[in-house]
Amino acid sequence: MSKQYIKDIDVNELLGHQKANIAHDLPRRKWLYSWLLDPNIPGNFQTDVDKWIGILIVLNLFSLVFEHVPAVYEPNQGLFHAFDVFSVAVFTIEYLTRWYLAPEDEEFKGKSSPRVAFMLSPFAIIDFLAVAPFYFQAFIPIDLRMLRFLRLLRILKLFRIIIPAIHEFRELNQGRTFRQKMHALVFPSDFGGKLHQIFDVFIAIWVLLSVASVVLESIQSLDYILHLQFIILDAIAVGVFTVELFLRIYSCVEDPQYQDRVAPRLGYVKSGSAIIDILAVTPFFLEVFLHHLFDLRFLRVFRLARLLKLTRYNDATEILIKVVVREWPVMSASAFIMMLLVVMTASLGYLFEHDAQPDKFENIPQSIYWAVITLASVGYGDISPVTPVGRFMTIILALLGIGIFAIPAALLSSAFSDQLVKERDTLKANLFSMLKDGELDENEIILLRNEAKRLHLTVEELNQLIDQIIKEHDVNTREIPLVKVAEQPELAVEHYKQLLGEIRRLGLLTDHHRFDEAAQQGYRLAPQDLTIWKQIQGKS
Amino acid sequence: MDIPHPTPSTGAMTGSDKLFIVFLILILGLVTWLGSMNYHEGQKEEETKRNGEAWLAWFTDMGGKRHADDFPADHPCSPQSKPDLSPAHIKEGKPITGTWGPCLAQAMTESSLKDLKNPFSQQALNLVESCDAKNHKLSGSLVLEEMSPTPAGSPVPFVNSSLADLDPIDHKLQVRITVCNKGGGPIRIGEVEF
Repeated sequence: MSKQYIKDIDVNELLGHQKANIAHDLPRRKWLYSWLLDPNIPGNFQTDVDKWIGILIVLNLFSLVFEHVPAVYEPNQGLFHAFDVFSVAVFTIEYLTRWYLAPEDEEFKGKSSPRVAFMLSPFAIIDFLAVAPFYFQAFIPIDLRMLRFLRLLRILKLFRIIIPAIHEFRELNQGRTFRQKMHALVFPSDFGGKLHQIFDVFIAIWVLLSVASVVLESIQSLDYILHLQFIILDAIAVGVFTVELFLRIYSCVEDPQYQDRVAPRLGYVKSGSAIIDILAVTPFFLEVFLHHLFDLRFLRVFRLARLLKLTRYNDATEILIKVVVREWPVMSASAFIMMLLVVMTASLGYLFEHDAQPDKFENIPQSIYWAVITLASVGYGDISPVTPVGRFMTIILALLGIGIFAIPAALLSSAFSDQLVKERDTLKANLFSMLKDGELDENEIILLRNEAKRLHLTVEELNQLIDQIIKEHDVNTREIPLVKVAEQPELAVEHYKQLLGEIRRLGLLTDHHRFDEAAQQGYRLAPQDLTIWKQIQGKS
Repeated sequence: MDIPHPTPSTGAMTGSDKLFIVFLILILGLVTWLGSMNYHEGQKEEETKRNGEAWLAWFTDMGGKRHADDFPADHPCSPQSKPDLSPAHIKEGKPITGTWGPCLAQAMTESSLKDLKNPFSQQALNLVESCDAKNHKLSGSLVLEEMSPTPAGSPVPFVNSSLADLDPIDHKLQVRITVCNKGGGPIRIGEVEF
């Protein structure tokens, strides 16, 4: 496993912002291939090309779906056609670029005719089929349905991204059980690779799609024309989320977090993320089975809970939950005072205003609405005091309310920033303990990268942190036994530089003439040693 | 109780893995079945909307014709005859010309609307006073309402009332057409001058 010396760490590279190291004087074709398509050069545009082509393929799929909805397609035929032309242009440029650069590709390089070999490769055939019907229709009349079916083949282009990810996943999981593989696919682990990332993106896309459909369904005019499409979308989303849920339940036992429990699956089902997953699919099943008995339209709103599934991919929510749990005793005390103030305000409001406005301050529970609106400084104004005493009381209570209602918000915000500082300190402490030996191994680099990303550290912040640690580390290096220093060449060089510096400093501070006299007197310093001293001082 | 199974070095599937795959296929089958049920219900709702749209088209067509000078005066939907709504006449129980009843009967028997069916009950399309999300028996029904303008300054511009057989149609009416969805709730089709 390769190790990196602390001073050699490139923060940009660590955070994935590295620039591709491609020589300018490469032959034009090689240079273009290195920038655009070479998967082995970190920092080039290969990932971006794959990503944008992938997005365009998904958009094509949506366009194809919406073309089957006359209410959407007919008024926007021009737009759909323009998008199709744009897609074909992009895919054609991609195909021609890959064809031109095929002789540089490792896969086709060794063949007698690399470009022909490229054209006959499965991916190239798929790429060709994705654009060919568009050009053929100019010469041969093709049925619109057939043309749409052929355009569906564009989805196959996604294989260019998925198949390498599957190969990588297979390699990473060689000899592992089916359940372990499923765990690697759905949970973050060292065995997931790119396929796990694709799985996460796939789920996130479906979450966004299904939430968008729930929101759009509430627009009557849209629901009127797209009702059936919304039903299909919901059924597919539920299918995807149900499979995901059961995959997680089945494979969670491979998670170290649940392995030691008596009933690990039950433990997982009770976790927050599993409850969210269950809530995301339950409305669908309940609505189908129970809609004859109850009016279950309210369940549709619960489909918006699917948005919470995205919290799995966002660590900020975890930090917020930690903060709320940590500050709960103070927050509950503040909530108690708030409640007390609300009840008191409502009671006083009722006492002073009931006679003047019996319809608005009919009883204390009804006055609670006014109390909360006043104390929270919302002030709708639909209910307001009219008596002088009531108004005076409102002034006092509104001022009190500003302070009391602000406490939980202030508490949360300061606790949130405290938590971030604490986590950064933890990262610093971890980094410091990792650097006890002056080096970072591969696992430590991965950990550092993940933590830096989780805490949203910028390049400057991480550089600052590493500089600080280097300084502290330099001070502490002196305490490392010389044998340990000698074991690591980089550290030994640093130590040697440090010693040379000390000798030079000594040379600057001492009187050279008297030093030479003292050294030669009584053979205090061997002649060779004196020569080395003079060399170091630059006087030889 | 779940106990993590030992890791075989071959990576082969265990019995529980196979069982899980079968379970997953069954679950997918269930979702597909429920999804297709929802889809069929949705199709019925679409058919209900088409019924409503057919009524809207009829109202638009008839509304345009019946106020024309050359429209036959003896047509049940003609606005030319003043309805006799005296209690004695009503008591007779016979259709009263110039009211909505005979016009509706004509539409239901002699126009293209006569073949329309309620897709939920597979019976002839029924008219109800209003849709109600708590009453599933109303699914697929049609609601025809007369929109009467309220006096100036009123918070609502119109008051809707279900078109009754004795409602006079000797003047221009503003009609709202609504159909009831699978839960009995309303789906607004449109408003038309009749």
